[in-house]
Formats: sequence, structure tokens, C-alpha cells
Amino acid sequence: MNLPLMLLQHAAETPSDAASQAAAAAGESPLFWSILIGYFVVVLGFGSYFAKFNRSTSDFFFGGRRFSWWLITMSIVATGVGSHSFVKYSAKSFENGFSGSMAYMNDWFFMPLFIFGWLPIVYYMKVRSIPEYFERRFNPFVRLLATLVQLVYMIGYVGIGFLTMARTLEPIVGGALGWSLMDIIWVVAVVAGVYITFGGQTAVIFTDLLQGFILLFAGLMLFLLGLNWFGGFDAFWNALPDEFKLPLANFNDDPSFNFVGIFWQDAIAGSIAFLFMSQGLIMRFMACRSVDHGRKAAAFNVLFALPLSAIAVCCAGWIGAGMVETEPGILPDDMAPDTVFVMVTQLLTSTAGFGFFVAAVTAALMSSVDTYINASAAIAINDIYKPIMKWRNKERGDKHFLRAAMIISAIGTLIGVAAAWMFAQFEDLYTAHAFFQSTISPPLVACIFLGIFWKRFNSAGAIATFAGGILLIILGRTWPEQIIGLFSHGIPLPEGGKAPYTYIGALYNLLACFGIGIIASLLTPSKDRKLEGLTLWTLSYARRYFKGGEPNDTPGFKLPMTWEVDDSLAEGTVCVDPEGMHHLSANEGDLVYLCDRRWWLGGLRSAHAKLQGTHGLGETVKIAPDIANAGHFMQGKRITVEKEF
Amino acid sequence: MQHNSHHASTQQSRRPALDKRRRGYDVVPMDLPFDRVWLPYIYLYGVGGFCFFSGILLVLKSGALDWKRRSHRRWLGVLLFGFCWYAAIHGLGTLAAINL
Repeated sequence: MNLPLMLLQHAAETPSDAASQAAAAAGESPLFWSILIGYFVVVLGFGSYFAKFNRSTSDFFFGGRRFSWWLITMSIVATGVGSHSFVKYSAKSFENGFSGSMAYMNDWFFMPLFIFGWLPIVYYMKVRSIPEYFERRFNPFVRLLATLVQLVYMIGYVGIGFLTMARTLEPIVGGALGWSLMDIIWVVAVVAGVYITFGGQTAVIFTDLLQGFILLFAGLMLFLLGLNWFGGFDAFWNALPDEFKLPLANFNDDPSFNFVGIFWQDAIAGSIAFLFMSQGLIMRFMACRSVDHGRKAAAFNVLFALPLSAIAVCCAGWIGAGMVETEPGILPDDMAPDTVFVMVTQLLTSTAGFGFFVAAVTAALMSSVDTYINASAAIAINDIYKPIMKWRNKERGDKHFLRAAMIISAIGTLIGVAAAWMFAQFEDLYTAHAFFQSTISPPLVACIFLGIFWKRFNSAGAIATFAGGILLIILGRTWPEQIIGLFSHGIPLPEGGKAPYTYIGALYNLLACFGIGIIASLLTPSKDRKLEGLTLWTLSYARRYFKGGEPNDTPGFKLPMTWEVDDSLAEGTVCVDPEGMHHLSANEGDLVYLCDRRWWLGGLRSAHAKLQGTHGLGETVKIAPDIANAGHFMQGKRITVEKEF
Repeated sequence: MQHNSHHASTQQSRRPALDKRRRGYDVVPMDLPFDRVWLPYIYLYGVGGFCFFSGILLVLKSGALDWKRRSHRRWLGVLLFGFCWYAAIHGLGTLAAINL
């Protein structure tokens, strides 16, 4: 056994009764608490250090549009893993085997439309929020509808995040400290709220970068510990029932977990929602230094990070399923699947290792919650507060809006606690989450999708999609057997009066929203369409809009240069010597990207600027004071200059 | 409780596999029908593939994917690779599960 395994693993001959109580016992261990608190201090401290790079609302929300793809990829991993959670997927994998990972392995189908459609639209058109897109594409009333739905969606996710964290910690701290579920929700809300209020997007991105690595390491380490428990991969593989080895679930036999329902709920509705309407994810991509880096981040995340994440989040369930087969009784017979992650982790690790795993998982959830709080604040500022100030003819500086963003983050945290309390009234977390997501997301998903890819889609269609779509969804939920049953693909009704068609209901909801939007658009005039740069068919305008002129795509070189501030330059501009201009293949007015030469900073010290004029100083780039300030360049450190377009 | 009752039914479904192993089978014979093993795969890459290739056609037809630009051609290659990559992962995983 190698050293990390020896440090983390202890004898796993623990009897089942001890396994069921071990989580509670860990909560009484000072070592466990030291590691848990120490982990949070280190991770939050790491992110908070980067809060000093916030100088404007653009920095606070979008990180100044300057980060490299690899940094954004790891940041997305932490957010994705955190929001999907180790707890939920371990439970599904324990019950169903490898098919429990399906939701992590079906996100590629809409990548062409994302990479060449939605990503360039939001980036080049500088769309700061999804509701803003709705105003520019349709009208202010549609924006208002979208803002309300989007805010409910975001705050709902904050509440779900708080509740998931509390449910994860409840078996451990509930007994040791005597805290109730709501007590735990308040504590995690205060920690998350304080952090995001002062940190902003740059802090979230850097915290997530660290956590992305830690989560993958922790999950894969748990898998190795599990294989070690079995004595190797072959023993583990042979321990699993055959059906558990299949990567896809039964087609339609089991109403509680079936392939066709999950395909429509997750591969279709979930993927579109994740890629096209998640404000948190859009803000990540907006923080990329270019559209190409956004494409790389998205592709690398789905191709490689998601399969690794699937192993990390599901392996506790797979290992637990194999343990039950190999050694009946090692896990309690009456164990709820939701607790399998905690149980298996406790069996495979020492108290110190257990503390590390619990800290990593709860911190990941914290990342997700922070992302949604930050995104809610972005929507509240850009889509409600700024329009109100404009309507009242009140001029306010960027510092005012930055302060307002912090206050709104804190308020969003409090509303999230209220949402968590509401979700706690549901039978279980999964039911609450499924009900919430399948009801709120389809109208927005349909509106965004039709808005981007169908030129004929108009304001009347968008309003009908929101109003009529929600009405049809409510009708479907009221008479599921008669309405959703028509699309059920033969999935039987569940026994015991449980909610029917949990997953396949998404197919009906999507058809209802898309259908009503298409019909309403076809029946009404389309003269109110605003299309330039806002649809797939008018994308060529978007690059001109971003640059403020014709793009220059002539290939050029990346030049290493010294830099100096020139107070006489106009805001947002830089200038190089004629030879530099030639090597860059650039013209006056072209966009350039200036970046510290240390690649591992991931673009933290970088800025975008416009070329203006030339000088005779050779290998020196003169930069305007605001660019020096935005780029956080260090005196004496050379930077690279490259033309964007 | 929903969790407990569901878990109980899952436990029952696992017992036959465990009993067979106790009776001396090293490998449990594969007796899952074709529609259990391959129908989800065909549906996933049939309906999912329709969405994927419709998307490719749409971005090509709209000009959002500019065939003349080298970086766009490279990205088209990445997109097609990604589709094959996941089809291969699911396909090989299924073959491994049925011991082929």
C-alpha cells in the first residue's frame, strides 16, 4: 500500500452498527473539526486574496474578461460537481450501478449550438445577463418576465444548495453539537454570504480553481481506496451484479430510475438549461479572455473533466454496491441511499481522511451556492437596480453599483435561507429539486433556444411561452396520467401514490413551452424583431459590435514587450512602434490583449485594449493609466501583446 | 419513507446475483435481454445524434461556423471527435458489462 493510502485508510472490518454511528462519532472528534475548519480557512483565504483584483462591477461579476481556458475549466468543475453533489449521485449509483453516472455523460449533443451560437452571441454582444438578452432581442416586458423567472431559479438553487449542505452535515454535527437542520443552514449561509459579499467573481473563480483540483483528487482517491478494499479492480468488477455494470439504465421499466425519462430530463432539458440559461456558467465564460478560450474551456470540461467528475461523485455508490454483495451486513440494511457517501467514506478512511472528504464536499457545495448568489446579484443589479436608477434619472458611479452588488449578495443569501426552509418541507431533497427544476426551467429554456435559433420567434411568442407554458406545466402536474402519460414511452406509474413521471415530465413541459411559443409567433406579426448579432443567423454583426469596427483576422505574432504608462493616451488604448504594429499584423483601432508573461497566472494580470497610433520607443508598449490599473501589471515584469481581431 | 422502501426493493434485486456467486459462479451469466442492453444506447445516439447533427447543420447553414476559417474547421473536428468519444465510452462500457 502506498503512503497516501496508508495515511487515509484504516482497517475496514468495522461492523455495520459501527458504520452507521461512525459519522456521528466523527463529529465529536477534535481532529475532524480541526481539518474541516482548517480546510475552509485555507480555501476561503485563498479566494479572498484575489478579491483585491475587483476594481469595478465588471471585475466583480465577470472577472474582467481575462482568464485562460484552463483556469475557467477547473472553476466550472468545482461548480458543476458541487451543484450535482457527491451525495445525490453516490445514492443513485448505489441503487443502480454505473448508470448512476448517466447525467454526467450526456452533455455533448448541444455543444455545436453552444460553441458556435450562444457563446459568441453573449461574449461579443456583451450580454451581461440572460434577461438583458431578452430586452435586446424582444422588449422590456419580456425582460421583466425573464428576470423574475431567472431570479426565482437562482435563489431556488441557493436554497437547494444550503439544504444539501445541511443534510450532508446533519448526521455528523447534529448529534455532536445538537444543531437542528435550520441551525446548520444558518451557519453555512453566513459563511457563504460573507465570502461572496466581499469576494466577487474573481474570488469565486480562484476558490473554484483550487477546489476543482481538490475535488477530483478526493473523489479519485476514494475510488482507489475502494479498489484497495476489494483487493483490485477485477475483484470489484466481479462483485457487481451484471446489470450494475451497464452504463445506461433500464429503458422504461422502473418509474423511479429509467433511461428514457432521464434522457429527456437531463440530456435534453438539463443540458440546454446548463449550457444556455445558467447565469453562473455564462459568467464563467464571460470571464474568459476570448471566445476561443471559452470554447476550449467548454470542450475540455465536457470531454475530459466530466467523465473524471463522474467517477469522483459516483464511486462511493459503486464501492458501496460492491461491498453489499461481497460482505452482506457491512452497511446497515435500513440505510437510506442518501447516506452511502458518508458511510462508505467513513469505512474507507481514518478520522483525518474523513474530515478532509467531508470538508471537500461541503466546500464544493459552497462554491455552487456562491456562484448562484453572485449570479443573482448580477441580475438584480443589471436588470432591476440600474434600470430603476436610469428611470429616475439618477447618475451613479461604478463604486456605488459595486457596493450595491455586495449588499444584494447579502440579501440574496438571506432569501436563500428562506428558500432552503421551504424545500425542507418536501419529502426529500431529490423530490424538491426535481419539482423545482422541471417547473421553472422549461419556459426560459424554450425562449432562449427559440430566440437564438429561430429568426421568426417574436415578443408575442416569448410572452406566450412564459405565461402559457407555465399554465400548461401546471395542468400537466394536475392531471399527469391523462396529459404527461401521452408522452410516457411506456413508463409505468409508481406504486404507493408517489409523484408520477418524475423525469419524462420534462418532455411534455418542453413540448408545451416550445409548442406555444412557435404557434404564438406564427400567428402574430414579426415586425418587432431585433436580430443584429443576437441570433445564430446574424452573428457576423456581433464581432463588429464588439470591436466597434471591421474585424482584422490577418494572423500576427505575439510580442514580448516592456510597458510604461502614458497619461496622454485616451482611456482604453495602447500604442506600439511601427515595427511592432507590423509584427502584430495590426492596424489602428484593432483590439489587443496584454498579459503578464507568466502563463500560470492564467490571465490574472492582463487587460484588453485598443491600438491607437504609434511611437518610436522600440520594444515598449505605452498604455493608458486605466489599462495599467485594470491589468494589475507589475513594474519591471515584461508582458506579451497580441492582436485579437 | 420513500428512500427506505425503494432501497429495500433494490436490495432484493441484488440478492439473486449474490446467491449465484455463493453457489460458485465466478462470473454471473449474462441473461439481460437485447432491449435492456442496447435499446438505451440506440435511443441515446439516435435521438441525441439527431440533435447533435441538426446543430452542426444549423451552424454550417447559418454561417456561424465559417468553413473557410481554419480554426472553425478544427473546432468542427473537435465536435465530431467528442460525439465519437462518448459513443465509444458508452459502447465499450456496455460490451465490458456483457463480458464481450
